[in-house]
Amino acid sequence: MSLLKSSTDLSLLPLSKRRKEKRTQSSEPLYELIKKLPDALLSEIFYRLPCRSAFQFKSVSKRWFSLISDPYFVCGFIHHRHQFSESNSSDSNSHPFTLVLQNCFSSTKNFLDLLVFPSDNSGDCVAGDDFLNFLPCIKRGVRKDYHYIIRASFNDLLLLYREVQQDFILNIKPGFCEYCICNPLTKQWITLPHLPLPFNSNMDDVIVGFICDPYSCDKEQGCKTHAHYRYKVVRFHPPTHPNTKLHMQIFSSDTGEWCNSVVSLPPRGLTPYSYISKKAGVVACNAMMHLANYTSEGLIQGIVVFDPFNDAERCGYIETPNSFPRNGFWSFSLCVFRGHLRIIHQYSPSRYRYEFLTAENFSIWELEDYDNGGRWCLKHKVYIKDMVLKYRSLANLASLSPMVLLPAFHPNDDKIFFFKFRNYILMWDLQTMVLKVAIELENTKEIIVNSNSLFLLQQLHSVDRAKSVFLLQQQSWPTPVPPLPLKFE
Amino acid sequence: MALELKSSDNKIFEVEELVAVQSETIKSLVEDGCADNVIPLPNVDSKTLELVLDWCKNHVDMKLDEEKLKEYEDKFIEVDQAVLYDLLLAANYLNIKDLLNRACQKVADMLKGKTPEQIRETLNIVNDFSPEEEEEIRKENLWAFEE
Repeated sequence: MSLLKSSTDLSLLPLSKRRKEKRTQSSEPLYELIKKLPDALLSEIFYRLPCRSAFQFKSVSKRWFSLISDPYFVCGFIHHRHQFSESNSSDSNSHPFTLVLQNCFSSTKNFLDLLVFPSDNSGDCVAGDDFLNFLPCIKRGVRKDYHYIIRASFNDLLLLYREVQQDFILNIKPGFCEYCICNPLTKQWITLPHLPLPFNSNMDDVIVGFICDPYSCDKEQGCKTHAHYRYKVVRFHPPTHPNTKLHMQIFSSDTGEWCNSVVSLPPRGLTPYSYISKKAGVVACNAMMHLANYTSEGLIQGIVVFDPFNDAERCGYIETPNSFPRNGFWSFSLCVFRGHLRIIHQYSPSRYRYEFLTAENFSIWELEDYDNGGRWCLKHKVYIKDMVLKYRSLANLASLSPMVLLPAFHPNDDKIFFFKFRNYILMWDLQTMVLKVAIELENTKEIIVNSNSLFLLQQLHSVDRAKSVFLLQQQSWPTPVPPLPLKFE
Repeated sequence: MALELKSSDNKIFEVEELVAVQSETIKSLVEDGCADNVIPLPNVDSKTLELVLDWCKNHVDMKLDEEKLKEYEDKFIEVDQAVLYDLLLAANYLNIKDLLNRACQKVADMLKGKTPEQIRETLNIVNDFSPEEEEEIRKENLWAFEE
C-alpha cells in the first residue's frame, strides 16, 4: 500500500525503518488519506454522493471544484446510477417527480394558475407564484404583469411562453412573444430570441413542442457528456387547405435562431386545431414530436409524427388501433411512459344514466412499433368501480363528481394512476388496489353538487378537463439550461 | 488450481484461482499466461491482502445466497478509516469492482449530509477560495444549499 512514487523496493529497507513507516501511514487520520487519494478515486467517491451534496462540495476547495465541475464528471455520475439502478428501481421513490397542473392554457388570463406538488410529499402544494418566482417579470405598472404560462415540459425542464403587447410607456415596441426554458430545481433559465407579435394575432392558434436530444450513456458509443446537449422548440402552425403541407417555426439550440420551415404531411393530414388538441399539445418521446389528430368530439383518429433531429422534411403518421371507439363519451390523452408512447382513453358515460358507475373504465394502449402505420398493444383496462370497491363512501361521492384520470404516469410504475376528484388528487395502485389521497388542494372553487344540478355537473366536468398536466422528472443530475451559442460577426 | 500472491512485505498467500480472479488485474495476468510463478503485488501489504482475499473467497462461497452475502459485506466494511483507505487503494489496484464500489460508497456515506464547512473541518482541508469566489459558487448553485 505504499504511496511512494519511486520504485524503491521496501524489502531493501532495514526492518526497523520499514515498520515505522507502515505504522505512521496506518495511523493517519482520514483527512490526510483523502488528500492523498488519486483524482480518479476521489471522483468515484463523489459519484456516490447524493446530487445535492455533490453540488455543495464544489465550494470545499479548488481541487474538489475542478473534479466536480469537469464535464466528464456528470457522465460518470449518471453512468454510475445506471449501473447500480437495478437494486433500487423497485423503490418508487427513487426518482422523485413533480406534477404540475396548470389551470389555463391561454394567455388571456393575467395570472399564472398553477398547482404544484412533489411526489415525495416533501411539502404541500406550492402555488404557482412561488414555484416560478425566480423568473423575470415585466410589470406594466398598475394594470397587469406579463406572466409566463407553461407550454411544454421535457424531463426536468419547462418551456414557458408569454406575449408582450406593444407598450409605449415601457418602451416596448413592437409587441413580441417570448419563450423561456427553465429548470425549476436549479432555477436556471434562458429566454429564446423574441418573435414578433403580428397585429391582431391569435397566438392560441399555434401548438408548441419542446424536445431535447436524449443523451445516452453507452460506453461503446462513447459517453455524451450531458453538459452539452441540444434541443429544439417547434411551433406548429394550424393546418391550411390543402392539407398537404405544414408550416412551422423551429428554434434550434445549435444555431441559436428561429427559422421557418415547411414540411410535407402524410395523406391523412392534420386536423384543424380544437380546444382539445391545443390542451393536449405536443408529446415528445423517442426524440420525436407527436400531435394527435382529434375529431371535434375529442376522439383520436391518428397521430402525426415529426422528427426534427433526423428527418425534418416530412411528417410521419401512426394509425390508432381499429378497435378504438368511434363515438360516445370518450376522452383521449397521449402521454409517455419510459420512452414509450401511450394513449389513455377514458369512457365516462353521462352521469344521469344509472349504469354509469359500472361501465366507467379506462384503457391504456402502448405503441410498440412505429413502422407500418403503427402497432399498438393494450396494456391495461381498468374499471372505476373496481377502484372504489373497497371505499364505500367514495363510491357514493363518485356518482356525483367526475373522477378524471390525469394524463401522467408515475415514472417508475405504470400501475400507479393519478385522478382528480373534487378537490383531491388521488393516487391509485392497480397492483395493490390501494387508493390514497396524494394531496388535498386548497382554494379550489369546488361546489357541493346535488343530483338535481345537472348543468353545474357538466360545468365541473369541463373545468376539470381544462387542466394541463406536466410531469417534471427529477434526473440523476439536473439538466443544465445551456446558454445560447454566441454569434460571430 | 492454486495461485501464489506476494504482498509488499513479502508474505506469500496461496489462493485458489477462482478466488483470485475476482480481481480483474490478476485475471488478465492469468489469461496472458503470466501467473505461473508467484505474482508480486507491491502495492498491497499483507494485512490488507488478507482482508481482500477474505472478501473474494466469501464472494465465491456465498455467490448464490444474496442475503448472507449482504450481511457479510455490511460487517466487512465496518472498519476503521485507515483500513478503509487501504482497502480502497487495494481494490482499485487489483480492480475488484464490488469491493471498490462498497468502499467508495462507505466513504461517500461518511461525507454526505455535511456542509462544506463541516467537510473542511473533518478532513482538515484548506479553503483555497477567496471569499468572493466562494460566494460566487454558492450563488450559482443556490438551490443545492437551500433547505
